[in-house]
This record gives sequence, structure tokens and C-alpha cells, in this order.
Amino acid sequence: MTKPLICVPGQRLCILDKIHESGQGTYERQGYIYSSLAGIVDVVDKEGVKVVEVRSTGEQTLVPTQGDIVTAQVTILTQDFCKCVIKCIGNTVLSRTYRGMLRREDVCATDKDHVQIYKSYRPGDVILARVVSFSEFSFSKGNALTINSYQ
Amino acid sequence: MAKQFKSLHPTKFYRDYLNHDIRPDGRLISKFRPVIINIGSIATADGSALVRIGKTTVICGIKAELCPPKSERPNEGFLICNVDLPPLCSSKFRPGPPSDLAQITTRFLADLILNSACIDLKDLCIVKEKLVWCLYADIICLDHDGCIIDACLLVLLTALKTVRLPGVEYDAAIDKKTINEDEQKSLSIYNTPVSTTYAMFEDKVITDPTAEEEEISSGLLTIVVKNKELCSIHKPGGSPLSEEKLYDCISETINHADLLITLINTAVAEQND
Amino acid sequence: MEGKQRSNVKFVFLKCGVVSQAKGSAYFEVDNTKLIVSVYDPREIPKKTDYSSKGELFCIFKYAPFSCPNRRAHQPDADEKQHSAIVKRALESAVCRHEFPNFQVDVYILVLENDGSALSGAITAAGIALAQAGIPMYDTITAATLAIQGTTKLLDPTLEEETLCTVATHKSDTEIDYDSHGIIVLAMLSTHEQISEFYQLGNLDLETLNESVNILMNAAKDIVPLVEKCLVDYVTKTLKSNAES
Repeated sequence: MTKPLICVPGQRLCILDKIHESGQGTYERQGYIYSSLAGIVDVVDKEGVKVVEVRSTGEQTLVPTQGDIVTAQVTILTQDFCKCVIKCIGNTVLSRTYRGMLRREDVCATDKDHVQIYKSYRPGDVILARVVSFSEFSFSKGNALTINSYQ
Repeated sequence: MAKQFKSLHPTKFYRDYLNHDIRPDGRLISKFRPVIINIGSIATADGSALVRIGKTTVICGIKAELCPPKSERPNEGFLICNVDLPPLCSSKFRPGPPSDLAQITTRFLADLILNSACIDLKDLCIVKEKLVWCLYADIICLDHDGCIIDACLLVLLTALKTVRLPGVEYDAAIDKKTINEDEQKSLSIYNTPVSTTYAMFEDKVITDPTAEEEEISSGLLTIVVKNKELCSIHKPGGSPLSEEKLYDCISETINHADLLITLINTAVAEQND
Repeated sequence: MEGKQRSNVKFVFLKCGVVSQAKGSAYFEVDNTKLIVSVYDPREIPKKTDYSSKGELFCIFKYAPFSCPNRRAHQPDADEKQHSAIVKRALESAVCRHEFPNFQVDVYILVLENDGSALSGAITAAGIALAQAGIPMYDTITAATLAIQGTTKLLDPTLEEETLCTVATHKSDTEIDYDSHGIIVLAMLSTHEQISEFYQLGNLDLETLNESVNILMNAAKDIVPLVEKCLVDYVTKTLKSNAES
């Protein structure tokens, strides 16, 4: 097992060319790939291209972005939407929770007019959802699947 | 998997552990966390101390100023404590005016100092009706991991024991104060109140809870003892506690108080050497 | 004081991961100046209605009431507010703000004992805390302070030296012009050699300014190996404890 390669932010990792690509935790500038985190360098082979990534040792700084699958817990219900608290993004548990909102129209793909939020969710339910967009102070989710109801 | 479970269902997570009388970090429910005391680290303050209970870190700096006394108490000085829980110490606090917890702790400490008579305000008097010392004790929490009242009380008393006041000569006729830096007088501390905090979770009583445990608990209890006697109890609401359990907690606190007082005295003695 | 020069950076003590509750934190000590910085995860910006493609930094710089020779009040005064703005400006160019759009990262700085050079120490420590927190950054950021009075240039001044250098003195008894005097704080991104913040107090002529900037840039570069070592030590320690658990 080779000794892990540790890097600091701003450290030049390698040249940016056809075989080397910048992955997560890195950025490109003036033809070189630089690290943007303090952590371990990993070179992943993907379809003949070497993707240079940097993984931090602590928790990754993750914010919910469009398209992410998140795990959330329902807190408040009204006629038109339900507010929830996002606890996990993908497989990573968040140390700080974020707020999300699920609109009535987004609960079910079909039969949008006759959906009753109170019949689908209760406060305390844990749901799996996908982030659709950003709006005023929170962001909507769509196509939620209830995986577990737990008191 | 355990992390997701802990995040989504914290009470059930803790309940599973507590049924076996042990906490997730491996500590028994009646075990105290290690305490570290550091003295005199701040040179700009007249007395300072740093206390660490587990991960909870609190620092106290005492600054002394001269001022005229209150007319209704002409021979008493002032000791003004203030507890600050800045957003630095935990994500629960926001910048702005002091939070409820900070104000409660400040008030509790002020009452405790007054009621336990650990210092005599008359010692702070220089010239009756004209000049007294005013000690500002500012306590700042650097890391909030539970038991904040215990840490604040401990750090305040340790800092008071390290205060060195210069000698002051006052000429009333011409209102002239001369400060003699060479003469250093320390404050006399008459007794040392110490406290421990307990958290109630369902039917169990957990000693020395961390911040996580305090959050899921159904009530908190702080017991203050001095000279092997009960001095004060602070139980802000929370679930009811049986008399038997309360007496158990008080005797546990009295046992633990010996250790804390020995620790303070050793630290202060080392500084004097 | 006359003719004294100090162009070597003083011995600095840095440690990261000191506040267990914070995502990232750092402790900085040089001579008698001690300060602690903690950084928290991105959180939603309160009272924000429109969408922006860049994240925000929220900095609060505070002196503890017992940190200065005269006791400071709890309310943030003009000095602290200005220092908060300076630290924010310095860090903004170092952090990859497009990685957390519509969120803000909180940086809290507390000075426990102030014996000069607190502002540059705060910027360096904040850079370490942000890197330890895993916030993506373009580069390691370091800062240094230079105090100037006439021909005397002192790096990392103490509080006494800082106060002396903010006093204006006439060039001689006959001239009205003031001598060069002042304090400069310079923050620099090391690898890309870019200056992210330049804060100056006082009155300086161009020649003194040029020399000072060169001294400061070298001083900032000297601190970089210490910052890197601190971060590498932290990563190694975390790797070891992850492997053991």
C-alpha cells in the first residue's frame, strides 16, 4: 500500500492535458490542475482518462444542488405543501440540516389535482426525494417516495 | 448505517445504548469526564483561567477597575460576572444580543456568588465612601459540549483565586490615586462552591452529559455544593425527579467536589511557586 | 525605537481542530497575541429572496473584553466592524464561492489576548480553519503586518509598537510635511502570488510603500510552510484515527 499523497489548497498537482482531467476537489487554471482541499490525492481511471481527485479526510462540504437524491424528515404540513428538513444527501449524513419544501403538485407524477397531502405524509415521516430547483428561501423536491413512517 | 440512524431517530439510538447502562462514546452513565485547569494564560487580564471538562472549554478573564462605591453600600466593592456564549462555540448560537442560555447562566452565577459568600465585597474597598475595586469577570465559552454551568463556575472561582491587585493609595483632599504595582495583593476566597450537572432521560439519570445528550434529555439538573453541604439546586423545568434519585445525585456531587477542589488548589499552588 | 529594523517573521504557533463543535477551527499564537477562529458549514442565508450563483462569507471579528489593556465592551465597536470587513474581503478571493451558491459560510474570530498583529493573525488562522473545514479554496492565504515610523520598519509589531507607529511626527521642526508612518496589513495567496487584501493606516510615500510591500510579501511567503505543515499534520492524524476505528 503506497503512502497516501497529502495536499493542501492551492498545490499544483499536474498538467492539464488529454489524459489528465480535473475531478472533485480540484480546479483548473492556466493549463494546470490545482487542489482546492486539504486531503488525499486520488487518481481514478475512467475510460482511458485519468481523473485527478482530492478527497478531504473530514466530512465533505456538501450542499444540496439540483438533481441530488436526499433523505428528509417532514416537519410541517399545509394544504399546498409540506416543509421538511434535509438530513442526508446521497449516502452522506449532514452535520447541519437544510430546509426543503415539497409542493402538492410534486407529490405524485400522475393525477396531480386530486392529491391530498395529509393522506400521503405525516409530520415525522422520513422520505427520499430529488431536488428539483431553488426558489425563494428553500427549494422544491419532486417524485418523492415514502420509504418509512416512524414515530 | 449507524450515522444515518443516529441522525434520523436520535432518541431511539440513545435508548438502545442506555438500556445497557453505557453511552455511545463508551462512558458509563455515572462516570465524569476528565477536567483540565490552566492558569494565568492571559497577561492583559488581572486574573485568568481556562477550564476544560471533556471537550467543553471555557476561559475567564478578570479585569479590575477603580470606581466610587454605591451610596447605600459605601464600603463594598463590585464583582460583575458576565457569561458569553458566542457563535464561535457552537452552531446553536447566533451573533447578536446574548442568548437566553447566556443570560440564565449569568444570573445564576451572580446569585450563587452572592449567596455562597465565597468572596467578601468589603475586601474590595480601598477608602470607604470614596474608592473601591470593581472586578469585571468575563467568561467566554470556546467550545460548548454540555455542562456549561459547571465549567463557568469552576473557571470563575479559579480565576478569582489568581487575581493580583496592585496597592492603591488615595489622597481624598486632592483626589489623587497612586497605584503601586510592586505590591500585589490576592483576594481571599472563603469557600469554593462547585457543581455538577445531570440529565434526565426517561427513567435514567445521566451524569455529566455532553451537548448531544443534553439535547435529547427530558430535563437538566445542576447541583451546587460547598463544604460538603448543599448550596444550590438549579432545575429549569423538565420531567419530574423522585426524591430518592435527587439524594443520590447530591451525594455523588459531594464526592466529586473533593476532586475538583483539589484540582483547583493544586493548579493555584503551582502558579504561586 | 529609531533605526530599529525587524524583517524576520516572529515565531508563530498554529494548531487546527481546537473547537470540537465547529466544522473547522484554528488557534494562532505569536508572542503574546492569542486568537481562535472557528468555521461552520454553509447555511442558508437568512432574509434572502433572490438566487445568486455565488456563496457568501460571513465574518465576525471580536476582541474578548479582557484581551486589551483597557476593558472592551461587549457591543461590537467600529474597530471590530472594520476588521470583520477586512477579513471578509481577504478571504473572499481565496474561497471557491461557486461551490456553495445561495449559502453562506460563517467565520468567527475571537482574540483572547491582543499584543499587536491580531488582524494578520486572524486572516492566516481563518485560512487554516476554512481548509480544515473542507471548504474548497483556491489557495492557502497568509497575512503579515508591518509597522513603519520614519525609516524604522518592524514586522509583526507588538501593541506598543503599533500605537507608536500611528502617531504622526513632523519631518523636522521647520517642515509641515509628516514623516512616513503607519501600519500595513497585507494578505497574499501564495501559489498564485496574488495579493488579496491591502490595508493601510497612516501616511506613506511611494518609496517606503514599495519597500514595505516587498518585505510583507516575503514575510507572508515565510509563513506558508508553517500553514502547510499544520494542515498536513491534521490530515495525517485524521487518517490514522480513521484507520484505527
